[in-house]
Amino acid sequence: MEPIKDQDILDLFGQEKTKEQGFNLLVKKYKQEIYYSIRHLVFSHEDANDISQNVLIKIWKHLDQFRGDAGLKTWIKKICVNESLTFLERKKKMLNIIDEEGYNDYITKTVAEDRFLSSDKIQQLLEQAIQLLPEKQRAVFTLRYYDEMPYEEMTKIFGGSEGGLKASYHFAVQKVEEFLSKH
Amino acid sequence: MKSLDEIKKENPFLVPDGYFDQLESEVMSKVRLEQKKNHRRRIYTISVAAAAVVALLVAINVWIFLPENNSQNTELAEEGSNNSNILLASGGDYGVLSNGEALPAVDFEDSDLDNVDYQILDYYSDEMSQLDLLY
Repeated sequence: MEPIKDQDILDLFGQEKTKEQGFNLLVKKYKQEIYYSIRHLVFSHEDANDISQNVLIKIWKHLDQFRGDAGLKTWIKKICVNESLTFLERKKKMLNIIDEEGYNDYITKTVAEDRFLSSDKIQQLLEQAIQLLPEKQRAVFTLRYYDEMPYEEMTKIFGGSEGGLKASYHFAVQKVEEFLSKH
Repeated sequence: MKSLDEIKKENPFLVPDGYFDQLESEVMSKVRLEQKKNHRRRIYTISVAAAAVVALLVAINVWIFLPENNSQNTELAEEGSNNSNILLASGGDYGVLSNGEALPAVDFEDSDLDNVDYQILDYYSDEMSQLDLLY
């Protein structure tokens, strides 16, 4: 099967008769990428599932406003990051965790109890370290580490400068390695 | 300190069996529902807009024609009242000319009826019967 081209998706979506077909291609092409980039940020499968559905419905509603300044993939990732950060902010308020220690305990417990996580101990520790990063830094780290997104593209998601994003990633790596060496 | 480079880069997350197919079908059915809602909303908007246009046209018609009819009616009413005024001014005496002279009385006799031009009457009766056919 030939890879699905973004331009084909946009062309089909641009016409009323083939709009649904175009969107279906987009879902097929990006569903896994959307899910995993959200899951890296919110961790739990149930939350990632809810947010992925919301993101895809948002894309359906707003794809006609996509101007093509950034690539389609970057535009989609931006929606994923924004939706996930909004969700995490709400969740933190809902859980009413005020101190860092309480949050660390919550993350450690969540990671240990998750059914849908690799059984590899190192991978579990790495995930725990990532989940302890501040939300925005976690987003920068996961996009760079797992997706290998160029910094220039990341500026289209987070704004700011490439230098600032490089520094943010560098600090995140330091924190993760420090956690791994302690455990 | 353990370096990230020493750790194999792999996706640590698992998902339930058939999850991505399920995600796709759930999203597509939501989208179809959304489309139906939009379609219904569009029909409702068009209906409301059409009703508004009809109401506007009716209002414009009423505004244009009703006052004119009113003024025509008023004019006719005024004309009618003038005529009755003339009749009233004449004192209701149809046998009196405006200069006060009395109209000569007409006396019909039976012999006058004998002089009626029956050819003309026939003509009128033919014309009338043709007109009757028209209606």
